[in-house]
Amino acid sequence: MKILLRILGYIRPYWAIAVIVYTCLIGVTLLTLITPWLVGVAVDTALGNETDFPLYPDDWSGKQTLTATAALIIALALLRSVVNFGQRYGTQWIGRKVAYAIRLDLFTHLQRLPFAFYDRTRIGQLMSRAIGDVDEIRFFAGIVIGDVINLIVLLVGIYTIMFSASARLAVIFVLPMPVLFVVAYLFGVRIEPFFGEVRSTRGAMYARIQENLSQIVVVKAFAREQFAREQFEDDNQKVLNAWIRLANLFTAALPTIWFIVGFLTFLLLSIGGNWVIDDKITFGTLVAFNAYVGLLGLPAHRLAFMIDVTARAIANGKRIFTIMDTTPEIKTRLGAVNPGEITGHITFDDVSFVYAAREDEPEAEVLYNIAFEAQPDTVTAVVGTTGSGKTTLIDLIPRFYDVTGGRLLIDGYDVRDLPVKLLRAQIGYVMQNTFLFNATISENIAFGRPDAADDEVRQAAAAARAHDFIMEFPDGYDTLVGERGVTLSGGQRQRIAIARALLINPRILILDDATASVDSHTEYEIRRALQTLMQGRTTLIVAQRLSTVMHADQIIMLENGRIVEQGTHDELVRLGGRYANLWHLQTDQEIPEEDIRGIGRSDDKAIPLEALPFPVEDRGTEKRTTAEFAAAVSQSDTRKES
Amino acid sequence: MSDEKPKLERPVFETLFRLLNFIAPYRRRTAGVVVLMLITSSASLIAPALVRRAINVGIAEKDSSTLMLYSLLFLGVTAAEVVGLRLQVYNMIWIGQHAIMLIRQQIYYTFIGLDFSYYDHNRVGDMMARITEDSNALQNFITWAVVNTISNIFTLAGIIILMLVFDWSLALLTFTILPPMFGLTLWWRKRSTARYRAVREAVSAVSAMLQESLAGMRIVQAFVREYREKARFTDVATNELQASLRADWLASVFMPGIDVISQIGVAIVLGVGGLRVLDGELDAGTLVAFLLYLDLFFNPIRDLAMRLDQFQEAAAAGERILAVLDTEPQIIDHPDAQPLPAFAGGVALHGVCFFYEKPPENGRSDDAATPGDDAEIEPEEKEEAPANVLHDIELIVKPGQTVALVGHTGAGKSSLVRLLGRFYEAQSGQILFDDVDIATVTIQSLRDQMAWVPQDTGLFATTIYENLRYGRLDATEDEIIAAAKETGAHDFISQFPKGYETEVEEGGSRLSAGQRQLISFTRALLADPALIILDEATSSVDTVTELQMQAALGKLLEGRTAFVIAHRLSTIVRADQVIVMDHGRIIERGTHEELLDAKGHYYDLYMTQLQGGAAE
Repeated sequence: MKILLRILGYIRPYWAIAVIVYTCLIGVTLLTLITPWLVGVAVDTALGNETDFPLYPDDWSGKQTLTATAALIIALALLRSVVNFGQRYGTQWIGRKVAYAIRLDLFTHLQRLPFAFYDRTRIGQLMSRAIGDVDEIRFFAGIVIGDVINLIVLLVGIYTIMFSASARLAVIFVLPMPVLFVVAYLFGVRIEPFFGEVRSTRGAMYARIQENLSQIVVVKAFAREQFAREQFEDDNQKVLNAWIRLANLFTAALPTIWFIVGFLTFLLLSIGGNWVIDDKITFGTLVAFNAYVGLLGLPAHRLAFMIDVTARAIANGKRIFTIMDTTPEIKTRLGAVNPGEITGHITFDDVSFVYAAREDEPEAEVLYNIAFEAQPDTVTAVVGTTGSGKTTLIDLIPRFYDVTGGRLLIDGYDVRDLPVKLLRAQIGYVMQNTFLFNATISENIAFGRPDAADDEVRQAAAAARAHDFIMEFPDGYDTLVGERGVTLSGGQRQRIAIARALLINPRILILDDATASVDSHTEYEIRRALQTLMQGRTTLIVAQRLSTVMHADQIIMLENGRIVEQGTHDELVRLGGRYANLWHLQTDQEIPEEDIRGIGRSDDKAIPLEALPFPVEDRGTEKRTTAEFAAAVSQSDTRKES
Repeated sequence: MSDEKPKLERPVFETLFRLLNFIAPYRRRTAGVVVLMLITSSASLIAPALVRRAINVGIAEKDSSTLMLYSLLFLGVTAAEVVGLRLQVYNMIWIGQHAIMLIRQQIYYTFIGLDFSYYDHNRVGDMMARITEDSNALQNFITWAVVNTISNIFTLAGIIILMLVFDWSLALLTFTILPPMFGLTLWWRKRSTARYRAVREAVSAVSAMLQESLAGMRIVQAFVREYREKARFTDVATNELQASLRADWLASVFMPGIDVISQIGVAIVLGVGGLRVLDGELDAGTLVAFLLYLDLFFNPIRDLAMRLDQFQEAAAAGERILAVLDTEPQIIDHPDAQPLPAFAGGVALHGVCFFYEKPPENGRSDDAATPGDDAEIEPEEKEEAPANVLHDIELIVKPGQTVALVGHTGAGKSSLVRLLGRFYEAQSGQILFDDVDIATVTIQSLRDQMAWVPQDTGLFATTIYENLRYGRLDATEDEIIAAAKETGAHDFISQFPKGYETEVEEGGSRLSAGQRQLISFTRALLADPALIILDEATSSVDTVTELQMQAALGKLLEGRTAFVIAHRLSTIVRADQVIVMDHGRIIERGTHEELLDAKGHYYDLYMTQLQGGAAE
């Protein structure tokens, strides 16, 4: 009930329209009730019986009455059609407006939910919440509410007219009504699980087909066509069975309702007919009653539908509102301070992080007692094995997750005291999974700053070593990427993602294994470009390849969520601990472990050998080209916070 | 859907006729349904006539027993109609669902049987649309269209005839409402088809936008783009609202319009008929019967109008489906193909030339959105598929040898290994397994003796256990666990609370890249093949996992012949033969050391990549 009220709450902004619409609805119902009465009057007049219709003068002849009645029926029909249009369009309109509002609310709320929510929720689920579920609520808000009003007015109206015309006859038709409604009710309640069964078996079948078609390489390589067929046969049979069960109930219930209505007509004909013979009622009354009995069947018919839709609206509303009621744990705190432009001094002060416990999950990635500082204009590298907590650690900085213990400070402010959006706007983040939108390359690069000039986009792309391959596409920066556009290789995607992060000229730059899928040659180039770009910023890098991070100002080695070693590359190698061990593993010439994924993946010319090894002091070598970029970027520093 | 009427390749009726073959197995039941349909339609036609008789003979003549007789007859006819309807509708659904089950099955089996080249040219989303939307359109057609069309025509004709018989002049007068009714219905159908299409497009724009926005939510939040994304979403949602309301408007005009027309009919019957009753020229029963028949008029008319669309949709869907069913796989067993004898692992390629054939020009592809969350497109596969060629490949591999294939994207590595599984057929040359030409053996026996480790690992959305079992369906639990222990996958599997019963979800997304690789290795190991084709993953994993994977790889390749599309130096160094490919030709071959000493192409590759990859 609470859920239904909440859905109804969405109608409130349109209450005035709703009043008009429901008035129209009541009007239509009342007009519908007049016609059978008029028909009855006309039939009686035609048969020469006495009639008394309030509108007509008593001294009218039969001809006058009949002509007037025919004209009146047409006039009423015209009036009714206007009101009926208002009612039909209006109920749909209300339903659509409600669905629209719920959808927007849901979307807005989804944008506020933290990463943790998306870690455990599948997109497919959210899609069906926002599309299918909302649509069913629309039926409820629009049609069903109208139906309920209609049902009440119709029943009251019919019985009022029937009782005033002939109470004796009317009584007969009161008794079977509960039966009619019980059948309709039971049908409405019981049909839903059957529909659900059809939907879920069919969904499972489609999912399996889709998967096998997408994985056809595997299916064929293992020669598992027969296996795939057997699985399908099973799925297919389940769908069929669900349908047959549904059909069985469906085709049993509806005819039952029809039969009850038919039975009522039979009662009318046999009993009412006799009373006409005995002159207890007029023939016109019998004809009018016949029409009313026909109308009685309608609401019963609708009742099943109404129950079904309402039940689904409650179920769907519950699911949707559960999402909407999830308060985003991560939001701007009341009384947050605005630090203006940050300098990027990051302090981890005894930070701990634990994922909220969930069943069915393998051991949670957690952090314990993390303490270190990252100064502006330095590079901090985070290394460690998979599951050691590297990504979690850097995700804490833009508050994708909040610490569960200790404090994380930026420029001395606890990040939880900073406005979330302001904080994130100053952080450039290149994620492990580079997600690009179905848009042009240029739009993708300018994602964080849609107002960026073309030149700036190009410079960012050049810095990320993306410019050259972009220009190889016929449409250059206007090339569409994604489903409907060109397919980019992993390395190309990563370079675009890097350009995207650079364009916002962030104070803090976070690279989460950003060069994992570019070939070594390109990685080297990007790294070189980044050397300059990192200047003046606080940079955090997560990497697998230690060669990527050896020039960092400090290296944090994580193991099982704890910092086990910390220092510069040379210090750590000299320490002879875990880092040194890993370093030797990766660089030992006897068993060359470092991969050469690059082999054959790049058509670029070999880079001149003398440019290759570069010491830490050489950071400034590329200044000439990259300085231009830096200048251009700082010019555009005036970008506004939305 | 394309605009207006889709161009149909074959005559509509030929298509529909062929489709009706799918209900051939249920011929008897279908005949029964037709009989039931005739009964129910007749019953609905007779009922008003019985009311007429009850009035004229019973009430007018003041004869109670006749009235009772006709009342009971009415009840009987109603009962017959209701029972008939239940049986009729139930059986219609039964036939429709059985037929569609068959159609779905045939489409799916055809897809499964088709060659890789078909998959190169067709998107999975489009293929799914054949099985989902098109099949549903056909099912609607089979279930409802045919029987209901006959029933509607029968009912309409029945009403017209009965009315004419009862009173031809009043009937003719009443029929004047039919042309406007038909006209309005046709007008509405035409307009609404276009508008509902607009609604469908608007809805799919909303879901596309939503899907993308949700998939990229992390990026959206990281770049503080919530505001703009919301504006974009509001745009498409508003479009959808407007398109829907336009369609609603039309529907809201239509029904009241029909209502006015049928009320005019009522007025005609009452006005004209009533006057004649008054004059004693017409009996009351006929008047009432006319009123009852007027109510029956409209439904068949609307139904027929809607069927027109359904016929067209079914014809278009049917044609697409038949096009699939008529596609024959090119690569099939030769008539006298023998099973490949137990394969020791010797592979020889002699003068193999290969090019990808142009797709047949039937590329009608709808933009049917694929259901499912993350339909990641695998860039490597797509890039490599078209127009690659292999020239005069000569290669001899001894049993147990590992061959590392090295070369640029597009050099022909993937094409070469695909030929080994006969996923494509070479235009000339010979591929011999233990001196047997693979073109002369059965495909099943060929592929049974080899195992693949694809680059994206290709896991299914089921449990780890089921994924492993995919390698050998009759493997026992012990064998599966033993294999997992051998590759080292057992360690991480047993750390999951549910162990082997852990659901890996679509594409194995619950697992890390390294874990997916280990599962993929274990699956291949379980198949215990003589030949392994391995497309190495490019993604980097941490060093410890890397070592684990290499150990597992060592186990997997031990004693087997292997072709590896190599991206990792360790694999190449270990290989017995390194084949350097370029533009479809083998340009260098030898071991890692030999090739380094030769200081050729491989040396260049090695030096540049190594220098870029690690310092020291």
